Amino acid sequence: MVDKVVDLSVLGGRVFIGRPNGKKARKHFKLDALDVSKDKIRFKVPENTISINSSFFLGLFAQEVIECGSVEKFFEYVDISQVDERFQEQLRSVVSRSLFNKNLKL
Amino acid sequence: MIRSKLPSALIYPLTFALLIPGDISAQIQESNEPQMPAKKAFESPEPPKTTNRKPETAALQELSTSNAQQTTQVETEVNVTKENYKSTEYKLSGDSQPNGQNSLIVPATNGEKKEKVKASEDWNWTLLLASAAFILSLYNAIKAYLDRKEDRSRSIKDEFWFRTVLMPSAFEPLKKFIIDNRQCYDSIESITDSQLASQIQDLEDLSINFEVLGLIDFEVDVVEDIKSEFEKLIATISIAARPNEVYGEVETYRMDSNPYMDCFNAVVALLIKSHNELKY
Repeated sequence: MVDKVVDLSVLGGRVFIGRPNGKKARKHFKLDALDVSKDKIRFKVPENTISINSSFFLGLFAQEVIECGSVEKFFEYVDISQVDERFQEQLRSVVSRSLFNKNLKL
Repeated sequence: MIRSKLPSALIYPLTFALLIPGDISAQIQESNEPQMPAKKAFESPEPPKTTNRKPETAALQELSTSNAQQTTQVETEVNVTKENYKSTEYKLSGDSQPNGQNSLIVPATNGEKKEKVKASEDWNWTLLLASAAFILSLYNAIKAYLDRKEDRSRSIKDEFWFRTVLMPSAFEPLKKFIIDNRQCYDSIESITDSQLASQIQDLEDLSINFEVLGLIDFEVDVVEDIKSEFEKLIATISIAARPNEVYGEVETYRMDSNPYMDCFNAVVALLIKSHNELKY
């Protein structure tokens, strides 16, 4: 079991937007090497971060969202307890909406 | 006046008698009158016989030689016609009928075949017209069904999804946001972090409102295209407000124009294009 830390502070910047940038960060953290069923990710966001938009977050974790298939499972795999509360709510909403749209085949 | 009182059966022989001079006409008329009505006499397959007939008047017994020759001519003509009786025409003529007014067309026995052929052709035409009418009515019925189906689909997609759902829930809030914020771009560098974060979140919410378009059939993936426009606006505002603090590379609108209006115009153009390409 691997306990991986994904800290956005190492990327630089305070505004994280756009799906291509989320995919770029995914490569940076080598998330493809992790196993959803065994490993764990601890997600960290710098205090001074202005915004993480949904496109960036889904660019970073879209594969895991699909593999987990539910909000609860996903946040068991990705621990966001150390993230500021204003972002926690936003990230839960992003994952929930993404799964809803996937079921609607939007 | 006299003619109108006469039976029609007598009109034809009398007319014929007037056209043929001398005793020949009388001879022919007398031979036909007692047997059948005048018209039937002409149509009868039996040619009029001038021989072996008992003279009824003295005048007939004193026929001149020239008249006898004329009679012979008529007989010959009649006999010839009799031989050709089974053909289509029966012709009775004399010297005094230059315009052939007493020529008659008599249906021969093979005329029945012609009648049958004609009837068959009529039937073919009737069948053809009936088939055409049937195909036309079938086409009309199918077209009416498809039109009704299209009207229903148009009603659902256009009237309901576009006008009732999309316009009030997505387009009107976007328009309000653009009107409220387009002026602030001139002083975008001075906005606080929370104001920038709020604007980004508002634009995220506005783009989510357009996800309802995914429920309608579109030729192009309009939801993703509209989201891309919002992403461009978020990126443009973020870079304009906090240069060098945006991670990675992002696509932006022209920094020297108003990105709010650019985004709005792009979204409207996409909606119009999508609406035009909407399948009903």
